[in-house]
Amino acid sequence: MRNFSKILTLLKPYWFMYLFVIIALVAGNLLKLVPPLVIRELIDEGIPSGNLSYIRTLLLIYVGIWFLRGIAAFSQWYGSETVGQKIAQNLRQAIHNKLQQLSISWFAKTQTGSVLSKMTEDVDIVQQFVCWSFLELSSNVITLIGTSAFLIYLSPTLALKTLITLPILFFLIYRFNKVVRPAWEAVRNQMDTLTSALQENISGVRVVKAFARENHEIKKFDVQNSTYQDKNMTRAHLEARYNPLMELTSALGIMLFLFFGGLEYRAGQITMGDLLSFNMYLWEFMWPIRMLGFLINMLGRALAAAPRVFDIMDMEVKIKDSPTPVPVENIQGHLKFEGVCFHFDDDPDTNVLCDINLDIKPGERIAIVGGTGSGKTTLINLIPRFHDVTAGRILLDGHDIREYRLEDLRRNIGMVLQETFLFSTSIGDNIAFGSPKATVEAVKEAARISQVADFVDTLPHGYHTMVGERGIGLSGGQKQRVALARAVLLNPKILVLDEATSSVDIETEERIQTALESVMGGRTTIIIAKRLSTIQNADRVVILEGGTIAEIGSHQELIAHDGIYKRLFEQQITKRVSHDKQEGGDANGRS
Amino acid sequence: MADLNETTAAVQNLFDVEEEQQDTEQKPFDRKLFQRMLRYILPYKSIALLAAFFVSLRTLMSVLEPLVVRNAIDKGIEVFDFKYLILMTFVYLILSLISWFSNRRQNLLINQTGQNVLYDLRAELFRHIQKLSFNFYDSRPVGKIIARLTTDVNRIAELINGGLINILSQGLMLIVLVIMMLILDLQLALISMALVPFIAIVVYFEQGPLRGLWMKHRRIGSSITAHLNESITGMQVIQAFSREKINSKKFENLNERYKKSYLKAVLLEILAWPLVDVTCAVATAFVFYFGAKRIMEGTMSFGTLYAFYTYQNKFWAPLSTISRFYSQLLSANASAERVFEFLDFKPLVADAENAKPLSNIVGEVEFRNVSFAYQNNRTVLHDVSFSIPSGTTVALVGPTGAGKSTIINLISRFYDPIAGQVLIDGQDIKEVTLESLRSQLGIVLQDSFIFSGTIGENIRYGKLDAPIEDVIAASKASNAHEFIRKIEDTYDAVTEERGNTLSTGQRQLIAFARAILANPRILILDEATSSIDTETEMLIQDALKTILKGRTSFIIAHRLSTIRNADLIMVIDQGRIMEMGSHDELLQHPTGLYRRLYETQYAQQEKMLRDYIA
Repeated sequence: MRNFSKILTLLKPYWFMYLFVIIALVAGNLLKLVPPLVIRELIDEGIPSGNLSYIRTLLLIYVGIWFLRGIAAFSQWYGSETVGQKIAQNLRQAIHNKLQQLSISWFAKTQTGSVLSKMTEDVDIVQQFVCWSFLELSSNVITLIGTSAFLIYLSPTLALKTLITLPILFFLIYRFNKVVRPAWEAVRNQMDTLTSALQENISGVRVVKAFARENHEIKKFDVQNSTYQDKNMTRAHLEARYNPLMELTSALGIMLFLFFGGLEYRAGQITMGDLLSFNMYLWEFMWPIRMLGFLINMLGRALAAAPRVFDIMDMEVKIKDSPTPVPVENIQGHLKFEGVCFHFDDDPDTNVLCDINLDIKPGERIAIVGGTGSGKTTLINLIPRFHDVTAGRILLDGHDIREYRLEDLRRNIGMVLQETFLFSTSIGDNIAFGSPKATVEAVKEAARISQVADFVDTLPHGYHTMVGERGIGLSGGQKQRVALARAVLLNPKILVLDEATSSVDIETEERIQTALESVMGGRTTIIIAKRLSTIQNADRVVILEGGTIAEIGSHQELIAHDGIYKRLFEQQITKRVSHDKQEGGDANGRS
Repeated sequence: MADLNETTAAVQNLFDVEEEQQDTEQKPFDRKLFQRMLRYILPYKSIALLAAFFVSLRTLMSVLEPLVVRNAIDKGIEVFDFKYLILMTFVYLILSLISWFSNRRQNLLINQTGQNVLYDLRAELFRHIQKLSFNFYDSRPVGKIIARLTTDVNRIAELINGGLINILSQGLMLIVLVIMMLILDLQLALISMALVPFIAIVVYFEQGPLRGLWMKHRRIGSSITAHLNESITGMQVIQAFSREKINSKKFENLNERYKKSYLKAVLLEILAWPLVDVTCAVATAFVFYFGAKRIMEGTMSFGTLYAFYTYQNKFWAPLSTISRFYSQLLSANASAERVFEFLDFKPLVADAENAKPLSNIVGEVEFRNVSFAYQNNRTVLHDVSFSIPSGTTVALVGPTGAGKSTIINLISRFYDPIAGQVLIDGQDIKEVTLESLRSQLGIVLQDSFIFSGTIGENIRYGKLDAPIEDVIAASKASNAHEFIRKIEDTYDAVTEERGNTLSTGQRQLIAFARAILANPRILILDEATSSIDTETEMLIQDALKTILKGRTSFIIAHRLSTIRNADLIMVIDQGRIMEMGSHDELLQHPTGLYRRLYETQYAQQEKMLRDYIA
């Protein structure tokens, strides 16, 4: 019931329009009750009196009522469609806006396909329920009450005898409602799994093809596809059992009417007009009852879909603005980590980072070095608050970063992420992604600094060239440079580069560095890199190992100190260079 | 703010252009398309026929029902005959029971047909897109592909499921009703049918625009899916650049257009329904008028008037069902067009008709005058020729965008050259089956993709039946074993979609193990080591020395140490091979590209070494 009342609260902003719809609905249903009375009058009074003009008047009234009903029905349908669409629109928007706020760790464990199916199909199901099934349900209840009143008015005894089947019907409705909802839940959840399987296959199509695993993928998908079919058939079986039973029960009511109605007419308790209009009402009465099965099916479907939608909407936003944000003026770029620890929600026992203390002065260049999985990326993800620290704090210019508005904080941090993601729009729009107000000249300048301008100029459409969803058509190095230009254009106080030039050749990287230095000088820069040249240029190097800072200091200091950095450095330079020198002569003899 | 709007508007325009272009292709109901949809029902002919039989049986019962009631009124009630009344009541009961049984069977059979068709269509579409080449995926956002496999397929199945069988029974009903009415009373029958042409005209004129409106609505729908998919996968970038508001604004716009396009279509559709109802009421009024007259004249009974009235009501119901079916048909038509467009998309790279499986290869690779251009017509390789003996380690060197990845893509036959031939062991790879070719190649791509499943399953991806010992051996060779060992559940640890819980380096190590396990003759590493730290990379390279032994390998890398160890270095620039030779040979050219590259990097390292020693 919680979900049901929640669905109803969606209607709140449109209560006025919905009220109008309900008025139209009630009016339409009341009008539906009049024609049988007109027909009774026609048969009991009109025909025996032989008054043709009276009959004409009655029939004009009959058509007139239907005309009014048509207007009412149209208003109801169109009104409810409008409300329904508005609600669906709001739901989609609400989920979409919520997605923008959810933390990166949520996305890491959520399958894209399942979010997609929630935002498209489940929203549609809820909307259909609000604008159609629910109204139809209420309309049916009104019709039921109205017609039973008329049935009783026409002949209380006959009504009693005819409606004796009702308890059976209500029992069936109750049962059906109970069993069909879980069946629908299973169908909806399987749709999620199916969509996720699809999504994964299409995103990973390159690996699928590289390993020639198409048949394996087809088999994998087939399992999901046939499970979906099975779940649907389970639901269909339930429908096939209950719906015809409900119909049969209502048909038995008509049968009873025929028999007892005949007896009552014989006994002179009712007229032929009564009998015919009783029959018409009985049809009006039975029809909604037959529909009930279908509607309950729809109700089950909507109640299965609704929590899936609401779950996302109700998701707690973990990383949010402080209620009293610190105004941002002239960020200097002074970053200070104080006893920072971090672990993921689902694994509170394993600290990914622990006891990080680091004071980064404005304009300082910090290189972060460490093995695979040592926590480098997590560390820099804490700065723009992609995750919040679980202990300690990070200060920016003396204020805890949680005191700033998220947008203010992030606007001052230019990030180039490890995994380059480009949007399916033009290269120009991709570069201007963080600074939509940027002029064309500024975009070109950022591209020049990132050494991508020359390449873009060779393209037939230049900066208007479209790139695919995952930036397909560009090489890895080109994608990285577009992503770099995106960060450069932002002109941030803090620049964070996570392996930003790993796919760029060394010559180009050098040019990028020189160009960056001229524009970005004086900005705090945090770099994760492997190339020694990059690391060496940093003011200080931080060595991460197992989530803690193992060593810290300038290149010179670290070399002087016999530690991890020295070992690393020796491995990369000494060993390699000397190794190469030794083997230099017979290098091509190796096979 | 003005600029901001302009940018969003510019992005919007791009979508608009695409949609409007497609709008102009609007066609009326397409019979060929419909026939093609019908073909999916053929395998279930017998179930569908049985369903149609029960549907007809039920229709028949509902046609007989008013007759029973008429007889009961005329012969059992008005002229009271208790026995006859009981008989009719009993007949009514039998009718209801038959109707119940048919209803039950029909429900199941229809669902069976529909779900089977849904399954088949989806499976066929999926199977087909697995065969399609990269050019298909390059130009299509993931979300738009998904929309066709879910929403559009559903819509076609819905039509075949409920719509089609329903329409058959309604059509049958209509015919039987017309006959019954004509038998009951010719004059009244003609009167009540007089208004049918009016409805037909309305429906006819409505359908053209209706189809266009639904199609537009659906297209915006798939733009919504595409936008969502991109938002979700690119969320980190969106948040990093504080684009949440603009992104929401963009969605708001799409969402609004989605709603508007729906309401526009539905308005037109809804307008017809009350029209049918009122027309029906007018016809009923005429029936009652003339019926009343005839009763007064004594030429008609109450029972007949009742039966006629019932038929009349039943007669209009199928009409509005048919008009509604028509819009369902058009909506399915729009979906079918989109689904069949995918099905008709020919894979650019496919097995030749007489393709033979490639027998176990030695690993000689040859390019003969190969040129290549992607679809945007920019030639990326110009007349490239080379021949690599088996067992050679080849390093591809050159600036980004020079064509290194293209060469690798051509060896893997992800694309076919526009001119020239690629040969492996002297055999044109166009003449062998794709599967036999690729299963002998080991490819490690730049961005490693991790499937949801377990780490073990991911490593086994190329060779599902590999025993765990081999998996571990491959992981050890790629140095993945070290970190996998430390994870709880080790090889059975569950991986999420896109492997988000693993670091990029770890994912790359798994991708490496995956390639090693497949034990290929030709190994291709496309910047495979760019996301692994130096220490790990050096370990991998030690392992690679043994792995590469006896295998032909192509390596794209930036690190000099990786490059100089290669047997052959191919320097590529602007789609041409500029230099080729061993490290030492290439250094002989004083003005060569490689030498310049080497000097920049080497000088840097030398300097570092000097600094260090100093």
